[in-house]
Amino acid sequence: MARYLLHRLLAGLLTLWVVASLAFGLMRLAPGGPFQKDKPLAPAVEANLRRTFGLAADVPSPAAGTLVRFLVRPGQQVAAGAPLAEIRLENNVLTQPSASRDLAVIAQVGAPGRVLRVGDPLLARATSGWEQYGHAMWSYAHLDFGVTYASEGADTVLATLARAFPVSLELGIWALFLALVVGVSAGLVSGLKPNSRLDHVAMTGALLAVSMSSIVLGPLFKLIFCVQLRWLDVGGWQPLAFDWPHAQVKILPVLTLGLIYAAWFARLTRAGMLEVIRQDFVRTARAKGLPERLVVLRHAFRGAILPVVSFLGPALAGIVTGSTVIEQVFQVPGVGEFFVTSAVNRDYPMVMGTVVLYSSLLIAANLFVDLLQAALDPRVRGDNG
Amino acid sequence: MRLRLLPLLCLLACACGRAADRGAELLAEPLPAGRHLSFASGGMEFLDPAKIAETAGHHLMMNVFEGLYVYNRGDGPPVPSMAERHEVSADGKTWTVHLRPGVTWSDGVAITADDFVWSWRRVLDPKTGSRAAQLLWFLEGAQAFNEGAVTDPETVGVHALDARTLVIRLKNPTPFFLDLLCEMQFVPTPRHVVARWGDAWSRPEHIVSNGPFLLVKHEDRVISELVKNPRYWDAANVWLEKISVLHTESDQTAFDWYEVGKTQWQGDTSLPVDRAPGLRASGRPDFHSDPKLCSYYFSVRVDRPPMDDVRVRKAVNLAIDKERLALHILRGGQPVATNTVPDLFRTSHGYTPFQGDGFDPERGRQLLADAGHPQGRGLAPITLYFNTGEGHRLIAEFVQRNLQENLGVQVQLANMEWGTLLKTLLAGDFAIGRSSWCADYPDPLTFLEVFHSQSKANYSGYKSAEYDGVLAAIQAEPDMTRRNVLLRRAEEILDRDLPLTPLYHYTWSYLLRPFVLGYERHAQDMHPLKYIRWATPDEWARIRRGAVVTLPPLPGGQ
Repeated sequence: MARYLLHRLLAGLLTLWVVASLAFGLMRLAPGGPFQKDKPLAPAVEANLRRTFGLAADVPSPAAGTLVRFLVRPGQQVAAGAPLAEIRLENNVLTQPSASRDLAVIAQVGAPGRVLRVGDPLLARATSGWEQYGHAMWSYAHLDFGVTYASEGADTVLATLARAFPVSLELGIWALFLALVVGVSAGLVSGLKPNSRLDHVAMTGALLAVSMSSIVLGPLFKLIFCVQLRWLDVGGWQPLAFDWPHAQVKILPVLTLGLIYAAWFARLTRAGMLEVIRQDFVRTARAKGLPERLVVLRHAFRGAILPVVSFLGPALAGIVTGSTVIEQVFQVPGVGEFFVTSAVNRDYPMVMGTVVLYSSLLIAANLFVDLLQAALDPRVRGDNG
Repeated sequence: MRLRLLPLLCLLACACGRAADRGAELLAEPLPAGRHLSFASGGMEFLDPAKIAETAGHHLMMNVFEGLYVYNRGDGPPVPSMAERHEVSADGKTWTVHLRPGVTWSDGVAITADDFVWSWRRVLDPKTGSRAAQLLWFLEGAQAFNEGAVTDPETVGVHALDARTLVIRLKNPTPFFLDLLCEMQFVPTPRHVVARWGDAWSRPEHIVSNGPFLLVKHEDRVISELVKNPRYWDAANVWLEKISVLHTESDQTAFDWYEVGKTQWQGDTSLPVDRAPGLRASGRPDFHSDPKLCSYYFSVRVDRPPMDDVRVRKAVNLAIDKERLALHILRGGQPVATNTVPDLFRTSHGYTPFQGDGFDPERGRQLLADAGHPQGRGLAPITLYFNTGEGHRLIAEFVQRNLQENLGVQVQLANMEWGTLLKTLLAGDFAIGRSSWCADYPDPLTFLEVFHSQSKANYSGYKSAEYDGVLAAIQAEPDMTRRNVLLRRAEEILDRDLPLTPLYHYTWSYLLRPFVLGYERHAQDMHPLKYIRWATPDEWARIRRGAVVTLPPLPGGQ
C-alpha cells in the first residue's frame, strides 16, 4: 500500500510538471502580452513594468569608470560581440564593453557621466523564454508563484488564491453535500422502482437540470428569487458567516451548483443500482432471507455507488475550484473567475497558479477516489494490492 | 412538461410588463432616511493613487485623495482643493501654487508642499513602475527621469519654495494643466505612512488620506466602504456620511442591484447590452446618456494598396452612412463623427471642431472611379480587422454592407481577440483596423497627437512633417485663440490626408435615482461624490411633478 501511494504521488508530481510546462508554453505562444491594455504603453513605462516582474534582467558593467555614452538604444536587438557603451576607465583610457550574448535592449540605466563600478547595471535586457521557464519552475518547486500582474506586483498569486479559494471551497462543499444527498437518494429510489411514477419524475428533473446547465439555471433562479420575489440577495459572500444577511446570499449558488451535480449523481446511481440489483450476489442475499432493507443498504448500495465514486474525483476538483459561471452570476468572490480573467489578461503567474491549483486538486481527488473505491470494491482492492 | 414551465413563463412575462410603469414607481419612492450612497463598480486594480490607471479605481479613490485642484460639479473649470490659488508666468511654463493654510492628512499631520514634490517624484520613479506615469511627462525633466535616463530627482520640474509654495516648471505652455492637476497622479501621498508600511500602506487598516472621504473597508471583489473625513478642509459642505461600493464585473448583476434598490447609482458598470435600447426608449426619469471624450474610428493603413490612395480612403469615408449607423445599430444617442475630436470643447476652450465630410455615396463612387476603380473594379477584397465584441461585429457588418452597396467594394471581416488585434495594429499588418481613442487629458490635442509620426498609437503609419510641425506649434503656443487656430489647422490636414475613417463619438448611458442631486454631466465623466446629496422634500416634490433640478457648477479655480 505504501509503495502504491508513493508510486501514485510520484506520477502525480510528474503530471503536474508536464501540465505546468504545457501551460507555460501555451501561454507564451498566445499573442499579446500582460502590458497591452487599451492603449499602447510608452517603451520606458513598459520597461519599468517588465523590470518589476523579472521579465527583464540587468546587463552588468564589466569595467569601472565613467559612462561616456550608450551605443545601443531601447528596443534594439544586439548580436553577441557588438559594443554596448563607451566607458572612460580610471586611467583615462576609453573602452567599449561588448555584449556577451545576443540580447534585446529594453532600457538604458542612468545617463552619461554616471560613475560605474564593476557589476553595476548598465542596460536592462529582455529575458529569454528558457530563462523565464527555468526561473518559473525553480520558484514553483519552492511553492513561490510570484506576484500577479493584475495587481502590478502589489499582491502575490498565493495570497490572491488564499483569499478566493476558501470561498470556492465552502461553496463547493455545501453544493457537493446537497448533490450527494439529493442525487444519490433520488437515484436509489429510481433504481429500485424503475419505470414507476417516482422514477419518471426524478429522471425528468435530472435530465432537465443536466441539460439546463448553470448558465440558464443560475440567471433563472436569480430572476425569480432576487429580482421578482426579492426574497434573496446577491453579492457579499463571506466565508463561514451564517447569520441571515450572509447566509441568504449562499443559498442560490449552492442550490444551482448542487442541483446540477445532483442530476449527474442521480443518473449514475440509478444506472448503478439497476445493474447491481440483478446480480448474483444480490439474489443470494435475498435467497438467504435477508430483509429487503438490508439487501439494499448492505449489498446493493455499495455496488451501485461505485460509478458515483469514480465520477466523484473530477467532480470534486471541479466543484471546489468553483464554477466560473455561477460565481459570475451570483457575485461569489471565488477562484472561478481567475481561470478566465488571468488567461485573457495574460497574467502569466496567475494562470500558472490556477492551473497548478486545479491540477493538484484533480490529482489529489482522483487518488482519494481510487483509495475510496478500493475500500468499497473488493475487486479493485485485489488488483491494486 | 409545458404546464410545469407555466409559472416560470408567467414570472418572465411579469418582468417585461413591469418596465412600463417603472418610471412612476421610481418617482413614488420615498427619500432615503440615511445619508448613505451605494453604487456598483468593477473591481479596482489599485488603491495606491500613483498606480491607478483605470476607471473603477479613479472613480473611488478621487474621493479619498484630492490634489491641488479638483473637478467641478458639472462642466465648470476645476476648483481649488489643497491649493488656495496659483499664478502662471507669461510664457505659460512656470506655475506657482500656494497651498491652502491648515490642510492636514486624516491623521492630523500637516500637508506641505514637500509632500507634493515627493509624491510626484514617486509616481515618476522607475521603481514604482506606474502605468499612468506618462501624465506627469508634461513637467520639465519628468520623462527623462521616468525613463531612467536621468537618476537625479531634482531634475524634475517640481520644487517646494517653502512649506506652502510649490513651483512647477512645465515642458510646454499647457493650457489644460489645471485639469491635469485634478488627476490621480497629481494627488499627494502620505510620505510618513508609506515609509512606515511600505507597499501595504494603502490597505484600509493603514491608509491615511486627505480627501472628503476615508477608505475604511476594502474586500477584494466584494465591497469597499468610505465614510466622511472629519478632518477634510471643506467637511462642512460634504453631505454624504457613508458610501458603499459593491464590486461586480457583471453588468447584469449591477443592473439587478439598482432595480431592487440596493444601489442608487449604477456606478462605472455599463447597462446590460440587451437592456440599453429599451431603457432609452422607455423615457424613465432615471435614465441618462452623457457624451464622452472618446472617439471610435477605423485606422486605415496609408502605405498599403489600395488604401495608399487618398481617393480610396475618402471614398470609403463617404460611403458609410454614419447617421443610420448611430440610429439603428448603436442606438445609444452617439454623435456621428466626421473627425476624431468630439465636440465637447466649446465652453472650456471656445473651440469648435472641424466638420469633415458627411454621407455622400455619389461623390464616393466618383472618387473611386478617379482612382481607377469604377464600381470597385480591379480592387481585391479589403480585410477589416476588429476585436471580439457584439457591438464591434455589428458595426463591421454595417460598414461591410455599405461599402458593398455604395461602392461595389468587397470587404472581408476578420474577428480577433483584443491582444491579437493590438499586435496586428502595432505591426501595421492590415488595411483597415478598428481603433478608438479616449482622452488622456481634456484637450483636443490628445486626439490629434495619435496621428503624430512618432506616436505609438498611430496604427495607420501616417507620417506628415507638416502635421507634426503644426502639433509642435500647438504645444508651444500659450495663447488660447492662436492655439485654437492651430488645432483647426491640424484637423484640416488630418481631414485632407484621412489616415482614419471616423465613425462616432461615445456616449455613456447610466441609471441614477431621480432624488440624487449634484451628479452633473461632465465631459471627462468625473463626478466627485462630495457634491452628492438627496433632494430636499421640496425639490423631490418638484422632481415628481417632472421638473429637472440641477445644481450649477461652483465658481472656478482662478
